[in-house]
Amino acid sequence: MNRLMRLAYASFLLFAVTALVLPLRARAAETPALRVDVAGQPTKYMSVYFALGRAPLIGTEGKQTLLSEIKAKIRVQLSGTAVLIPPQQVTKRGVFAAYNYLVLVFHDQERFVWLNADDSLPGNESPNGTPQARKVLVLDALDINTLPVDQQGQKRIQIDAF
Amino acid sequence: MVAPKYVLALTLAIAGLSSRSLWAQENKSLVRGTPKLTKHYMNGAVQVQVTDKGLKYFERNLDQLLVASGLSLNQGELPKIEYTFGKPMPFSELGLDSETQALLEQTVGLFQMWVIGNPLRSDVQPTLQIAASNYQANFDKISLVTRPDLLQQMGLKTGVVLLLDLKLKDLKLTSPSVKVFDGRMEDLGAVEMRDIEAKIGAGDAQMKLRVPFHVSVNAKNEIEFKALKVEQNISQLPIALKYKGLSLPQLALQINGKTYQVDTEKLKGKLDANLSAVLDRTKGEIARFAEEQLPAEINKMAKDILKGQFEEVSKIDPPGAAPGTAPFYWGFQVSRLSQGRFGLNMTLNAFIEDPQNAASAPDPAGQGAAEPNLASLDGSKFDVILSINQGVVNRLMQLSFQRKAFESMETGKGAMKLTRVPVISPPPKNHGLSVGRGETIMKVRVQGNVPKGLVSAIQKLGIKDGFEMAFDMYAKLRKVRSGGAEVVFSAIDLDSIWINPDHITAIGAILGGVVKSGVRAEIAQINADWKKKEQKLPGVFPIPPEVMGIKLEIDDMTLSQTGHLLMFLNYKQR
Repeated sequence: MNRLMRLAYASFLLFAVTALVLPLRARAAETPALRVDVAGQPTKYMSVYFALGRAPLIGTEGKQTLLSEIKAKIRVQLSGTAVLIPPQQVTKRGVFAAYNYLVLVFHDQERFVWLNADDSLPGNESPNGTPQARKVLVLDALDINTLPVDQQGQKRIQIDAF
Repeated sequence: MVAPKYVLALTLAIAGLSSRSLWAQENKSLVRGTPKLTKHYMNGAVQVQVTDKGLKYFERNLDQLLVASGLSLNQGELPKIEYTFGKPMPFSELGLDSETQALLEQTVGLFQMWVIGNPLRSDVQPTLQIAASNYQANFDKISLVTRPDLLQQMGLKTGVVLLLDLKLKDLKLTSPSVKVFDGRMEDLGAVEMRDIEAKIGAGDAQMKLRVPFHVSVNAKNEIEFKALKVEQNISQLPIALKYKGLSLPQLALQINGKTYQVDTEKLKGKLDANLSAVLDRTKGEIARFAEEQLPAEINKMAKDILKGQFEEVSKIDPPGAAPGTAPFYWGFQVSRLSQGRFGLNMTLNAFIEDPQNAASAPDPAGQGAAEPNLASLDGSKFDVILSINQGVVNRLMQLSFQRKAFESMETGKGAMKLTRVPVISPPPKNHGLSVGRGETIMKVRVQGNVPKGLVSAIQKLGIKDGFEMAFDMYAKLRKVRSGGAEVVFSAIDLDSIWINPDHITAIGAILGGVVKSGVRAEIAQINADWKKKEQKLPGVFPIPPEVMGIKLEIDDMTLSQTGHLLMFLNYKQR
């Protein structure tokens, strides 16, 4: 019995300590459903990114956001005025958010590649493609939280003509 | 140890110092094709003053900084782990009470004396297997405050002391299985607890963790980070532990072929009865770890992560250039962190470079004084005061001009082709122009060839058509709703006009004053036209509305007499 106590003690001790100190595994999370209303058809394609990233020390208008890992990327060929993006499965790891940026990129070339402002390529982003875009909209998690939600539970984003 | 890494990530992120190296370790971002830049640093070019008002905000609202850093602390996951103690421990090192220790030693002694092939040993080296598990932290407070008092108490002259103050209503840890065994005593099997839930803290008994840390920048512009003594109250908190199943080794005694089972239910009961004592021991161990090892581990890791200079380089669009034009690069390097007059002061060295024009260096004549004069400012009304040396704006204009992205200026009477890069400097105090909130006046020295046909036919006899002239122009730097600032031409100082003498004809030399007065009259007309219809520089200057991912709004700005663009900013309400 005492051996058991000893083992139990050791197990609790280690469990508690290691719970605080060990690297964290990935867990599934889901992005919100989106409805993007686009005025006209400004570009042939829109790429939607859910990504983990960070803001720069000094920045202007989200342009210098450094995406470190792409969690989901959806490319849509624009044809109508409304684009629906269903929820995406993404992973959350440790104390990092599952994603903290939603980026909409409007581009004409079929394949778009996100290059950070310091020319780094985010994790999970294919280097094949061009970084040229006509418009980039960067929303952080607080922006995403405040997006209006329609009756279908979709978060709505309005893109004015550009 | 990875927990120190996360504590470090949190503290650095909050301190605005989350380095890419830390991110790269976590997120595998790759660098491709960064052009080689000849960096001409302008020392102390940018100063960020977070006022006491601005700092107060972080006592309750750290969300924005956490969001900007990609941290989400409310819940996390633990991987499946297996850990074996480094060395066997005799019973005396397990911290058991003397009665239990004596009983164990007696039992093992009896086994050693009487049992052939004894499975027990007089020491233990446990292996622990914890299945993938989760934590959920219910935060009541995540705050960051500066502690000038601690800085003073510690006799530190440089840097800042920040205190990360966490309060958790409770912390829940769950795991489907915890198994423990000693690999050297295989026959004994394992003890396994299933569906474990541990909850630390409840009701008023909140978990408190206060991590003070000193951050400074040394003479080599390297960031130095030191976590100080951690305060916590873990040992005073209740821990509720539940588990749904417990498997114990099956123990039996055989006498003359007949087997007598040890009552495992009784063993389980005994274990439950002793659980709180076990947990008290656990709390003590966590507390000891937090106070003694955690700061040391954080500091060790900080040394690795923060080694070298902190530098952040980003692309920016050349002002006035067409979309898709090859970018400029700007970069910042933290050169000073200090307890400033208004609160927290972060000073940055800055460079702006054009990879296509590596030979270009900033013109020293375009620089403002080394330090802004903040003595007469009232910082209590704003969250952040951002000071940008005029040299930064001049450097942007210089590179744009050299790139030919900014080579002419529309006067309203045709485009003036610039022959020299315009240089901004503070206006004289008596400029006499009206200035609204969010606007400031700057003096711009402009030199170029005037549009052809600017002067009348008679004056053309005295001066070459499209002659070169220079003048001081007062321009308004005005914030724009979409971010950044635009330059609106206000007036040309008629007394500052210079005409290239080579462009004055022989007749003009004789006529002298007539030509000059004709030119003055034309310029006066331009001034009058500008009053009626605004004339602007094309494009928007990328004046930063974001610091560490926090969106800011320009409340007011002024170009000070020391040559610093002072921007008075407040956090953008969202």
